[in-house]
Amino acid sequence: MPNYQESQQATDHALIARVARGDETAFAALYDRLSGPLYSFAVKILGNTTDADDALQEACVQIWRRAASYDADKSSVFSWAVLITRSKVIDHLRAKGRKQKLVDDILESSEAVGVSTASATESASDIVGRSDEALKVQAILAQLPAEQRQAIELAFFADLTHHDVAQKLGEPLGTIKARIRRGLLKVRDALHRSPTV
Amino acid sequence: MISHELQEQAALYALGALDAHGAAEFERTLQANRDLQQLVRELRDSVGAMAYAAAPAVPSSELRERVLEKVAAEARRRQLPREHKQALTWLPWAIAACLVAACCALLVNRAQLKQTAVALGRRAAAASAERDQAEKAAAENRQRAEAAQSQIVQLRAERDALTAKISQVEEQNNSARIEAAKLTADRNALQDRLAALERNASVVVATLNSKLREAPEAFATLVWDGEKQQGVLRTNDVPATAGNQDYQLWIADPRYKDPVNGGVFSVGKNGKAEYVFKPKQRITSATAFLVSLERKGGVTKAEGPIVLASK
Repeated sequence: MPNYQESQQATDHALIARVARGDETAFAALYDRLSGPLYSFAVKILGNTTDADDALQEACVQIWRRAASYDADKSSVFSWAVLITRSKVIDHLRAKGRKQKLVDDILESSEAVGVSTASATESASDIVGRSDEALKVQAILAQLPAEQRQAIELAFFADLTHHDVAQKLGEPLGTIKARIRRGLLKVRDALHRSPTV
Repeated sequence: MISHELQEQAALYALGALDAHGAAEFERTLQANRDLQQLVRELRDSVGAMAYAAAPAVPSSELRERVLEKVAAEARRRQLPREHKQALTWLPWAIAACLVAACCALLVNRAQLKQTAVALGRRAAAASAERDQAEKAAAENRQRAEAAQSQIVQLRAERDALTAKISQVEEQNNSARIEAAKLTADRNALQDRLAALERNASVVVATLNSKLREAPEAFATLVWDGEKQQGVLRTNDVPATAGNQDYQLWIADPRYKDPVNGGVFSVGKNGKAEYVFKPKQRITSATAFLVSLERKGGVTKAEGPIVLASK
């Protein structure tokens, strides 16, 4: 694994360990490191900043409360925080009854997540301000076959089980499992080859 | 080496795409497989990295303040029990004693719970298999329903075509019935007309001219209705009959050898008489009418002179 990534994760680990001991200063530092991508993720799924504000706030409080249960053997701090945020975001989607619309959007979209976020609606400053990590992940996702990307997006962004994904796409369950496996392994391999992510 | 099946389970687990039962089952497998744990960690990080796919958005500074205030409030609430804990130093020992007792009780039930968990796991796996089978059956049922629907559409089209054809045939039948009724009426009218014509044809009008030298101007007109077998004779300028004489009418019919007796009549001094006659024998075809002068009361076969005769 690249040294850059290791150093980033080491910093995150040190901070989450201090947060687990009740260190509010460490939490503020961790918030400053993670809130940008977590907030971007929430806005993408919820489609508005008001709900994204609420979801991020609830996710951050959850991170504070559950910091002691973080297990470095299971995931990076960032991935752990993403999964917590995703859970809160999905709760908001369900409460607002917008989950089906998100599913429909993913089904109708022929664009990859990475490709769609690089659309012409972004300003130049957005693109310049985007981190190297974001650009790398978008490039990796854009290279996935559309059917693999779609299956992964329905499962991850719309919180569908593999049974639901198979039903939505009208494909056999085995096909959907294979698509998700292949797609996610490709993402993993590409991230491991990447020097900055 | 991790099998494809386990890789699939790991990918679904990392994505959160397994249902509760599937996730619990996979976690049991995960506990005993370090390679699988490593794969799950890598896949989780891959899933986490997907958050970077979103277009960048920056949370407001107000949100940062709100979050930090909320966390500070949580920290304060967490601090209060800690202070209480220092005051009550005996409390941990009491809790520890309770925990030991609870552990003993739990150990007793552990084996039983483990057995129950294994049984539940098996039942859940069986239920999962049944669900897959039910999904397959549902898909087959959907296909059958679609085929049946298609057949229904085709049958409806055929029924509509037959209904249209039946309507057409019924319409043709009605037209034929109307035409037949019209033709029957025409036929009846023609038959009536024919009967009338035939009836008229049976009526004969004849003029009987004088055969008398002394009364050449005498004549008679006769109308004979063959259908009714009756006729009327009217005389003009015919000499009056003497007291011992009668005029007698004869009708010639080829069916009979001799003219048929039409009866006797007398004429007054003015030479006029109207005599309605009805012969006793049936006249099939009246070819001539004759009047002879006979003795009073008439004869069975003409004997006297012919005084009037038709052409």
